[in-house]
Formats: sequence, C-alpha cells, structure tokens
Amino acid sequence: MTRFDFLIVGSGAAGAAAAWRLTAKGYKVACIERGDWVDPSEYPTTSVDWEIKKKTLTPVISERQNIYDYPVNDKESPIALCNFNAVGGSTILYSGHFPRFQPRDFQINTMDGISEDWPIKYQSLKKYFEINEYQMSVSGLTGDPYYPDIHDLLPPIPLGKVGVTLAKAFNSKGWHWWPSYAAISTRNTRARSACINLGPCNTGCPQGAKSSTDITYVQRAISQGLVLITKAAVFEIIVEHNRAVGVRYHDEHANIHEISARHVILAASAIGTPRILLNSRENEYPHGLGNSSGLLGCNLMLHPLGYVEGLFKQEYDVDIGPQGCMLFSLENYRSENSDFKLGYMMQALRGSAPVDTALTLLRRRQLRFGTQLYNDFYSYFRKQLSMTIVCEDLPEKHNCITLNHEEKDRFGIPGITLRYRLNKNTKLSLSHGLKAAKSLMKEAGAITSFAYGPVRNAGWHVMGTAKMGKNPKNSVVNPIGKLHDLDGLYIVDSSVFVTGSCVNPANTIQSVALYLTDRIERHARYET
Amino acid sequence: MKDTHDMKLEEFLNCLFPGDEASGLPNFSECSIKIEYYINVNELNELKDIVRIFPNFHDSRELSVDDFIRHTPAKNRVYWDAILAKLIELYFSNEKVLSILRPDAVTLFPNNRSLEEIDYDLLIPLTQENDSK
Repeated sequence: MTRFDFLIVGSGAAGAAAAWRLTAKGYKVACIERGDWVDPSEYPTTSVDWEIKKKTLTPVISERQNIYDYPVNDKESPIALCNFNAVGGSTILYSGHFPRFQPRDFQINTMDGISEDWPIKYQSLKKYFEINEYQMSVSGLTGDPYYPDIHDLLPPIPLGKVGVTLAKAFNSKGWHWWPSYAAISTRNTRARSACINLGPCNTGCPQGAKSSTDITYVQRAISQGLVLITKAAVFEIIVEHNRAVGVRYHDEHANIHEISARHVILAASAIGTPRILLNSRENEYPHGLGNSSGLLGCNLMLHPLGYVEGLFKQEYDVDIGPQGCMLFSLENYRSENSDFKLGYMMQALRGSAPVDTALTLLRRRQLRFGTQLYNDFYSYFRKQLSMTIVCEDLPEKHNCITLNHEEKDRFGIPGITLRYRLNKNTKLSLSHGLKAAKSLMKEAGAITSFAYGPVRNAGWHVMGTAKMGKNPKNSVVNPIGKLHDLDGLYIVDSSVFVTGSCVNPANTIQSVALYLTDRIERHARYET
Repeated sequence: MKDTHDMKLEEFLNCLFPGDEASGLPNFSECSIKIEYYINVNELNELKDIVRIFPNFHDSRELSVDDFIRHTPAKNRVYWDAILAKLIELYFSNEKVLSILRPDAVTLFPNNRSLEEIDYDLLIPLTQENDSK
C-alpha cells in the first residue's frame, strides 16, 4: 500500500491550497474529499430556469442534505450553517468577496484590550496573502487606505449604476468605501476566462471566472502529482503510539478503507475537522483526539449578518455583475465612540432576479395577484439595492458544535449539533450596522428601506473550533497547526482561527493554510 | 380534450397571472407550463380543491395573498403558500416571461452582459483623505 508523505482531508479553500503547496515541493500527497467533482456545465445558470435549479445547490447544509453531507442540527442557533461538500468545497458556492484580515485583527488583545492575540502576526502572513491572491486571480483596486500594502491585482469588477449610486452616498456621508477585492478573474488569465457578469456567483460559475479551488489549486496540484480521492468520507484518525498515521474513510458504497501517511493534515472546515476529531475516540482520548483542553468544537464564530434593502423609484442594473462583489466599507471596522467593541463591514450586494423578487414580495405579503401582480412586481424589480452588515463576533466557549448521536450520516457516523447565540456586544454592533446602512440608503435616494438581522441562512464564515495557541490548556493546536496532544496531526483550516475579524475570511483562510503548510513541512523535515 | 377541472384550473391560473399588456408579459396559459411536472400530487389536488372553493374567482381579479388565505379553509392553508411560491417560480422563470424581463440574456450563461466601468473620480475624496493623514 502506498504511504504518502502528507494526507490532506478536504479539498476546499484550505485543503486545496495546502495540497498545491506540498506537491509543488515534490512531496507525495493524497487529498481525500467526501464530495464529488461538480460539472460546471451543470451549474444552474446554464439553464433558463436557473432560479428553480439553484435550490439543489442551497448552501444551507441542514436543508440540502445530499448524499455527501452529514446531518447538522442547527435548531439551537439563530444562524444556519452554510457549506458545500464537493471538490472545491464551499468555494463552489461562495461569492468570492476576498478582502484580507487587517493587521489589527491578529492583535486584538494588544490593540483593543479584549480576547486574545493570535500567535501569528500579519507581517508573517503578508507573503502568503500575495501568493494566494496571485493563485486565486484576485481583482480589485490598489490604493485603499485600509489596505495600503495590496498590489498586483487584476482590474476591479465594474460598479455599474447601482455601485455608483451607493458610492456617491458613501462620499456624501464621508464614509470609507472601496471597490471589492474579488476572487474573480476580470481578464482572461492563466487559462481562465474573464467574468461576463452573469450575476449569481453563489450558484457556481460556469464561465470559470470565479476562483473556486476545483479550477485553481486542485487542478494545479493534480498536475504536480496530487492523488485526489473523491466520495470518500473520513470518519476517524488512525493513531499508533500517540502519533497519527492515517485515516479511515467510507467510500460511496460504504466500504471502509484505510490510508496511511507520515503526516495527516485536516482541512475539512471548522465543522468537519472537529467532527472527525471528536469522532476519533481512543482509550487515551475518550473525549476525542486533541481535546485535552476541552475546547475542541468550542469558540465557534459565525459572523452574524444583517441585511438592509433600499427601494428606489428608478431601475438599476442590479441583476448584472457578480452578486456579492461590488464595493465594501470598513467605516465601522472599529467603533471607538460607540457602546460596543470591535465593529462590522458593510458589503454591497446586487439585487434579485425575477423569481427572488416576486418570492420576497410574497413572503412580505406585498404581492397581489391578478392585474395588480405586475404593478407590485415592477415596483420592486431592479429597484432594490441591498447591503449586508458583517459583524465580528468574539470566540465564546458556549458557542460550539458537538457530536449528534441521534442524527447520523448514511454510514452511521454521528452528525453535529450547533449551539450558538449572539452576545450583547454583537447585537449592539449589528443594530448599529443596520441603522447605518438604512441611513446610507436614504442618502442614496431610497424611498423606503427594510432591515433585519441576524439573517438565518448566512452561516458561511465558520471559524474557531480548534483554536491555535501556545498554551495547551487554552488551545487545540500550536502555532504551526500541530495538535498539542499528539504528533503527526495538523489542522490548517479556519478551525484554528483565534479571532475572526469582520471581513470575509476566505483569503485569510487560504493564506493561513499556506503559511501553516510551510511550517508543517519544515517541522516534518526536522522530524525525519 | 381538457376536462372541466382542468379548464377551471387553467382559468384560475390565468386569473392569478393574467398577463400584462403594457409590458407584453404573457398570461399563465401562454407560458405553456405543465404544472403537473413541477408540483406533487398532493399539491395539485390541493390546488384543485382551492379552485373548487373559489367558484367566483372571475370576480376576484385583485385578490391579495391574504385575501386568498382568509377565504381558504384551514385544512387547505398548509399547502397554499408553498403552491403560490411554486407557481411564482414557474411563471417568473419561464422563457417567454424572461424574454420580456431580460431580453439580453434569457439564459444567463454564456451571454456576456456589460457594466459601466468605474469612474475613478469617485475615489478622489478617499484618496485625498488618505493623503492628508
């Protein structure tokens, strides 16, 4: 049986980046993915009725439950978990909004006097952000006062009329805004086609302009020798003499296989990774592998999201262009003079397509039928501009995932239960953000606006369930991502995040994964 | 030949979606949607039940969803929102409807749609503020 140098579990944002980095260095690497390849020619937007077909690709795992998913019980959370199990992971469905964490995000205890600093500083990650932004063909604009050290981007995604309207409102308020950083190719580059403004990036991009990892890191890693095993659901780590030596997984026919490697790297998301570890109970580890601190699965951060929609008299080009990538604002990244700590990002969204527009009106009981149907529909269609508020939430032990022995996947492996609640600080931050965005809509000329939060189906930014730190009593992995409790086992995904910033984490997830992979590789060389 | 129930159902759907002369949007029948392919048997039976309890729907051309619900017996209400949502999905994702609403791209992929490029002057206030720091 082949023994790999490195075995990576998960081919999403972090796992794919790690696989590429290690295969580039000549290692024998296998990557195990519980999902399958998704064929871009079958993405919903290749069909007329894409708004119906997109329901099969809902990101909400508790609603989707396809054969590659595990059960997620999120009834004890106001926010439902979003992810996707496939080659490319959640990047298949993400919007590609791709800012970096700020330097201050890694030092919030030093700078803001709360929570903990990371054991990594931004400066150590800077090189990896640059590598990642090149590999993921990031577009944007240099010169942002909040990101003075970002260079070498593809041209930004056009704002369109809707973006110009919002930008002018930001300028009137004297608030920060900037064209989005986006993992979307705006030019033909690196054998990939430029964005053609289809719109709904979060149903998959048949154009291949959005940088999901199946068409970036995974493809490149395979060309460098990666062995990718799909439809393989890892359920436990094999441990010998306090060292991880491989994993056990079910294939699609429920046969159990073992695969061994000198080093095992987990990158199955901040939900999937702790699930595997919690399920890997040995005599020495009755509470799950790597859980001597009792923190495995805890400190979950989800970025509670607020939604504000303005209704305008005139039509805009709201249904053209990447839905989640237009412009963003860090005006309230920190809110020094407010009654809450930390802050939030405002991210402009483009508007709804016809079905979503009509269904939204139906849900709000603002749609009549008969001849009035068309008046009601046209009074909203292409006249809604929207904004999300992405709040930084702090790590708290009670916000956690645990194994759910009542609901199991098709192989009989426990699913997970999510417990999460917003604390007072996050609620205040969210409330502030909703008010700010409503006032911005008014400034932009909205005749009315509508706001709510937290949005339920918005648990995309899952972080913190296997915290990184120097103290084994207060963290799960050390500063190179190695589990404190045993050798040969590492985590490189967002489980290790100490805090979560208020910006979309994908770029930071991948850059941290690349950074950790280099440290793990160096550590592995030292071990041998 | 269509039976009486089908005729009533078709009339009912056209009453909900009568088309819009001003914009050229078709009525439900003109969309040639085979609803039995999209909604399950229970929902279809429920829909036929609802048609039966609205014998005078010709006179109810501007009923709101709330009006419908108010007039619908409790036993039928479970499905009603879901059925309406499906009818909306079918109508507003129909090719004939989309060719009016989005004539440039009835099918999104692979049709290129263009957006205005960024007016970089909009960024002057931000860069000036940064320069002054």
